[in-house]
Amino acid sequence: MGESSAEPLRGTIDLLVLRTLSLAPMHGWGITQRIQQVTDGVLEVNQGSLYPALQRLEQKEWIDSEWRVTDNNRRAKYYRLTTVGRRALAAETQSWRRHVLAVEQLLRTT
Amino acid sequence: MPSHIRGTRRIVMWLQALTSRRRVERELDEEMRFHIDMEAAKHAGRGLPPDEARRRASLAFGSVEQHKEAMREGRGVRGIERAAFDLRFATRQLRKTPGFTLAAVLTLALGIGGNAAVFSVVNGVLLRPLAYPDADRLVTIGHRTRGGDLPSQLPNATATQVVYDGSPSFEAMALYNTFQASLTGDGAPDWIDVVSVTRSIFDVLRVPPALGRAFTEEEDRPKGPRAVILGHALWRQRFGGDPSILGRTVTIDGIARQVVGVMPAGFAFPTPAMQVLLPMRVDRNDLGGFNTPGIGRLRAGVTPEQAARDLAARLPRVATLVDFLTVKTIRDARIVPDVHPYLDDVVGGVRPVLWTLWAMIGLVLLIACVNVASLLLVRADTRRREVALRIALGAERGHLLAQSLAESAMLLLAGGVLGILLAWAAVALLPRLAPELVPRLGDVRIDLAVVACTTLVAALVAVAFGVVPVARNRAVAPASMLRSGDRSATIDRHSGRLRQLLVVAQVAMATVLLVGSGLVLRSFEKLRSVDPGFRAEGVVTFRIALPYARYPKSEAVAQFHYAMLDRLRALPGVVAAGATGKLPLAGSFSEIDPLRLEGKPMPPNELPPLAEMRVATPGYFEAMGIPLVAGRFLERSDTDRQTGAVLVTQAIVRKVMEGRPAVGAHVAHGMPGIASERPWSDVVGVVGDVRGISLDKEPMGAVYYAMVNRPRVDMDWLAWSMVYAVRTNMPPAALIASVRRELAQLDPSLPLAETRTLASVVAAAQSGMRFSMIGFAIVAVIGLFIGAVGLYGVLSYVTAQRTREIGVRMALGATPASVRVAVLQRGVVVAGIGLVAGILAAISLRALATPLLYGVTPTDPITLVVVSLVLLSVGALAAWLPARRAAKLDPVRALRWE
Repeated sequence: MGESSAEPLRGTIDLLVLRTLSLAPMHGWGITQRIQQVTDGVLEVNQGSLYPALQRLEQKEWIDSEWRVTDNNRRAKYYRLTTVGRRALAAETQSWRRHVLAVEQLLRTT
Repeated sequence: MPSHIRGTRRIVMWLQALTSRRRVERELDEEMRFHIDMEAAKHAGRGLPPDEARRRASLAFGSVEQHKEAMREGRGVRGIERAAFDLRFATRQLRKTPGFTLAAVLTLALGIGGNAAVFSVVNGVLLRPLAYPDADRLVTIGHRTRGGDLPSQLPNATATQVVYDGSPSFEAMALYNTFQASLTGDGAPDWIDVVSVTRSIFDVLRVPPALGRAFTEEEDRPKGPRAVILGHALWRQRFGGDPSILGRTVTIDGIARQVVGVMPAGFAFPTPAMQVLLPMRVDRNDLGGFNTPGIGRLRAGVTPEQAARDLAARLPRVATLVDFLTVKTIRDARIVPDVHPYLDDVVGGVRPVLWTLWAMIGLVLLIACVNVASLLLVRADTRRREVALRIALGAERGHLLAQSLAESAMLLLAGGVLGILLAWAAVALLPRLAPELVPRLGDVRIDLAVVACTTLVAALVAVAFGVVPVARNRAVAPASMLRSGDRSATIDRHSGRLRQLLVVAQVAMATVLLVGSGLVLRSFEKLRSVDPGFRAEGVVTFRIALPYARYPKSEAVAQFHYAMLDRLRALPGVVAAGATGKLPLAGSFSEIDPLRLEGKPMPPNELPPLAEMRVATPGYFEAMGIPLVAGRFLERSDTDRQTGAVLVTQAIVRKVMEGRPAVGAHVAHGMPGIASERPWSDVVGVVGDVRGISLDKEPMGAVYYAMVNRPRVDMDWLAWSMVYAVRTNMPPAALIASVRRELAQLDPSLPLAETRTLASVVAAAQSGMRFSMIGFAIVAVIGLFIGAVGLYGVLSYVTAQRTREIGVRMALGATPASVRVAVLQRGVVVAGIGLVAGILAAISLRALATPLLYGVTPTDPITLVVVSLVLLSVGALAAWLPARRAAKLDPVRALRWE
């Protein structure tokens, strides 16, 4: 929650969630923590966009969910990447890289 | 990935969300709580006190409700949840205004229910095909002549059928004839309805016997073996449904006949009353007989018109078979084959009544819609401020529209359900109201098509009326609306005019309905006052038919009837007694044949005037109250005369005698040179005419023959089956009991059939008109009621809106009476404009009414005046309550009213 933290860009949240879940199944809070941790606190996912995103991805069947018991003995909803989701992640990553490259190019030339 | 799988998953989640809404919400709660808990635990782990940790976690999470709302939207069930809410809201709103709700629901229920009921009848009776395979190809074959008033089977159907047989337009054609006969042996003697058919009837109808077989060619020949096929009902009732009935003999008309088959249940040719089928055994060498209807099955793709043209080409050949018809006669008389759908005959005269009734009930639905529209408009106006406030507070206009639609939908649902219940009750009651009058009533049921059709109409109405009020309120600019305080009449002027226009339309339509039913009512009244030519009160009638096998001689027949009449006259309370072949108005034709007058040359190539051929005993005219005009009545000694004695009616004197004295003239039925030619008879007297066929038809004229005691060509059969008429001052039931005793003493094997009062025969003859009258009256009353509700609703509203104005007037000195008059006047003026429009419309629709009327013109002034008075009174009544309310206003409170 530092000064430097920022909301992820619109539309990238799906990619962040998919990437995070590609490492291991995780619950909603865990996903936010993980993103924060990996990006050194630069990206902070708002709960208001996280949960709708999870719902959306589940409807697309890129992820699915089940209730499991955590290490602290609490019930939590765990999300997991599906095969379809894994394929989608590859495609999304590709398209993101192209996008970033394009933006970078634009910035360099002007 | 295959998109349909993804789609499935979505649908599953959507359905889960919808059906297990609680569980989904709970899980959502739990997931978010878990999130906050974990966040709080993280803060606590960094050393913050638990309260502070929790606070920070919550703060970071933001509004749980907002997130949840976003999730709900994401589930895509929000629309349905909102609709459910809107419907609950609408129900609450409607419950708050019971008067409006009741008026609207009742209006819709009457409109929808009436339409569903009448359409069910129209569908069941007029539209649904008869229960035969490819029933739309069944046609009636008859003839039309120049006059058009002759029975449609003329001329000589039997002969023409022989000529028509083999026409390429038809797959098959058959003749049939209905009559009644006694059934004896195996229990009490019975009187049954018989249809004799040519064996081709099974090819025409394509319904084989359920048991046994159809008639063989042998059995359908004049001297072939006697066979009979039983109807299902008779087989069940009299023979206990015994399958071993085949091969047994039953005695019909005193002749033993072998049962060769049983028809299936539901076989109703030509009417459901049919009890047995006999072969017609047409003698192709004697083709007399005029009244034989024909029925045919067209080949696929052939129209009745094509078939009629085909038959017309064959018709001239009939002249070679029938002596009195020449090719020229056929052409001069413009005799043409008439081929029309058989369904038309089954449905008969109720067709125009039902279509008109449907048109009228459609008008009622229209009135109902207009009424609901004007009620909704009034409601929308009273809500303007509420709507303005809600818009100002940020309500979405789309949502307001949805709520308005929800209200219409609730009204429609309630009105629709109630309406279908009403229709269901009406259809259940209908057979009791008009059992014999409307054919195929058994086929009437509220089916899915009817419900779908009515619901569609009502749904269109609901959508239209749900949108209109909102569209009107859309124009509202909240700020100005709220400022104006909804007091001024200026907002109101436009909508006021629209509302009054709707009321005028309602009154006009109600007027059309009232005029229609008023005209039918007057027709009924006219029909009731028609003099049938006899006095029906105090006359009991019944039929006694003598089986030919046991009474083979005319002498025995005459003897039996005279003996029976002697016994009847000896009974206490009997004033007069006599008998004839067929009762007038009883729905059956007497024999009809051309009548010749001796000494008057037959005009060449022209059919002589037709006359009924009846048999009568002495006492018949006294019993019926038929007056003697000239000469004398028949006497018993006439039976012994060498030359037969007859009475003629006044119509015969007019049509045949042409100024010559009737008494002493010689007349004969039939045409010279053919089998049905009869010898001359002496006219001994003239009696009054009787309406024999129906009350609204001029009498054709009849010749009454005395019974004879020796065989005479083709005439003695008239007396085998006789209807007795007994004028008595005893109760009918008591008299019938005595008659039964007397008959049992005279011949215990004879059934006493068709016991009824002459008055009930006359009532049955009026029943067609009575049915129309009741139907139209019900429809008109419903229309009037709905129209009155509309007028009342609008006037109440207008008066309430003008409360301040009225208060000002009263404060300035207007008396309660003048206020009352002003409001009343307004109502009567609106009703009056509607009335004038309605009467103009009714006059322009007069062609529609004419076929249903008797003795009144469609612009009958009495009807128009009475309808006007009724409408204006109802209008005044509808205005009365608001007027009284206005007059009772307290000016001080009225001025403060908002």
